[in-house]
Amino acid sequence: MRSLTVAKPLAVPSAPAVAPEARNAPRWRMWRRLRRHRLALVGLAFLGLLILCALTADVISPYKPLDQAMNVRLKPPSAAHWLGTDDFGRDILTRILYGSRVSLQIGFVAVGIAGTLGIVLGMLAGYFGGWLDSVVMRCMDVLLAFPAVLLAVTIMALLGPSTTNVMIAIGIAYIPLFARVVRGTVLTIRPNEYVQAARAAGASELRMLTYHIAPGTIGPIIVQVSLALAYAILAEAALSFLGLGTQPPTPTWGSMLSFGREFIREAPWFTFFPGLAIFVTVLSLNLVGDGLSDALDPRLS
Amino acid sequence: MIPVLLGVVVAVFIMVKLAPGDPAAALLGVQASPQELERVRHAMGLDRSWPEQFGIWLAGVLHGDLGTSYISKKPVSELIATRLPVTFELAVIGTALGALVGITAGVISAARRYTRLDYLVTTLALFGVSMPTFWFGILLILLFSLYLGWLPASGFVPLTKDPLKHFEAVLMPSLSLGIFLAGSLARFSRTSMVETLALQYVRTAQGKGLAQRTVVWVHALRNSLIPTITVLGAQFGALLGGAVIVEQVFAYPGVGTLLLTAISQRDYPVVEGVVLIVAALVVLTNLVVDLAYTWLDPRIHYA
Repeated sequence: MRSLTVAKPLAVPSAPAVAPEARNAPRWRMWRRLRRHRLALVGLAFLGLLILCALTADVISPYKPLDQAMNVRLKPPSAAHWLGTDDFGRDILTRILYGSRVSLQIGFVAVGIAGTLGIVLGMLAGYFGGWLDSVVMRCMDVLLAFPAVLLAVTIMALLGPSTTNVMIAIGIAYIPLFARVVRGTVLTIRPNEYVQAARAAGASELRMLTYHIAPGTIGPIIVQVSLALAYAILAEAALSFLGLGTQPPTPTWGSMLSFGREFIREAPWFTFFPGLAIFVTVLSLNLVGDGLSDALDPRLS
Repeated sequence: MIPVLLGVVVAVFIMVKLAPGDPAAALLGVQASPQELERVRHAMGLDRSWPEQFGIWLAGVLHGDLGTSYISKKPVSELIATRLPVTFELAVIGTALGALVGITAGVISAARRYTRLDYLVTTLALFGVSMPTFWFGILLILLFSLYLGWLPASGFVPLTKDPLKHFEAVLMPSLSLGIFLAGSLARFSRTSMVETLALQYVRTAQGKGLAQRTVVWVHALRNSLIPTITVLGAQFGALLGGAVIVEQVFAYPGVGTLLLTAISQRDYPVVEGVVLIVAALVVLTNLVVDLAYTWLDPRIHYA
């Protein structure tokens, strides 16, 4: 496997004459490698579809998410209700489509919070080192001592259940996921000659960080984002399942699954399909994450 | 380890202070007179400065005093002590199952790389890390309790009462807890084993004419376990977090149930006690993992 990686640059002379250096830019190389992973593309396609569904839920849904119809309580999947109905006669497919909004919104915002804080802390710790590094990383160790779901549950208990608080709770819980990776990457970038050269040329600390250090961390960050999204969506579902997330009647996958448990004997589809939605979404994110990390480091296939 | 533990204690103390409401009022109830409130506040040290309060609280924690439940008025440490063994057993069996299945699958899959078996294992492992624990638990209930009728859908039977029934009750919850661990360990141990099998000393062992089975399970396994153990240690915490959810699926009376009941009753001392104990357990696990390295790789020393 190693010899393959070394051999690659030698193949460059045969590249097309049109702007070879642009085509060989790292992001193109990454995209080309990602394309080779069909499963990653399947995952990406599903996620694209899911985002589309979330955006157009009010147009494409066959019913309204809160419309009750007591005459069709707990009906199995049929032509009228593809995934069946729940205990209030609400259409499960519709509620899953609307639930994707909550999952994706919370997932993206929580990862945004965790990512922003984690990246800044990781960069500062890795770049400046010394006491700043020690303080930041010990804080991350402390944060890591609390299992993420437990930490999120506790934060929810203190803040009270609401959609915004779920985002904050999950966001805080996954800060170390980014801080550690970014710090590690910065530590490998810092000794490079081009960094030393920039410093010798008199670049300011801010310029060093933004122009010379940050670009090198993008690859690992992208991989962490797909991982963190998977974790965040699982955590959101878990909080909703425990009744600590977004409150009813807003449909969320976790809460639907939880309410469906009561009817598991007579209506297993009620609890099955929301769980399947979580599973397939997380699976897609993991496929994309695997593809991305392979594309960044082909040695570890 | 000590700085991290201290950090954990400080973090939980901050949670104590952030908890809404007046602890004295919560403990006494609504009918308490102002004089009585003042007296209890003074007794609890709530009228002192934060650093002093932290000192008093820390001294209590070190003596095993985690406060008193607002609801049951019992010591928090006592409440946790009765529930912790239930969760701990679940976590230990879940970890054991996950580690056994995960590492074995990962090693086999690495030894037979690019065969159908390898693809099957990697696919199942991916499913394992993508599965919401609570949904997997429900699928298990559907299959083993409702369709096949082999296992009870929920509930807990003490070991002392009926060992067989106890085992039946513990099986599905620990399986659901272990599934994520099995998946992630299979993935990590496969990668790690693939790297180890490419090393010179493995080729030497193969060159000596040893059976591939001996090379993989005796020579390569121990070295490839180091990164895997790191993952195992890191996942134990996540597993304890997962126990909170799994206990709800199976109506299991562990610390997770204690925690969630406490949250719904705003019984903050119990919430904080559970969080503190679990975090301390995670830190201790990391210590055990560090010690396991020295056994796996004698080159590693701790001064």
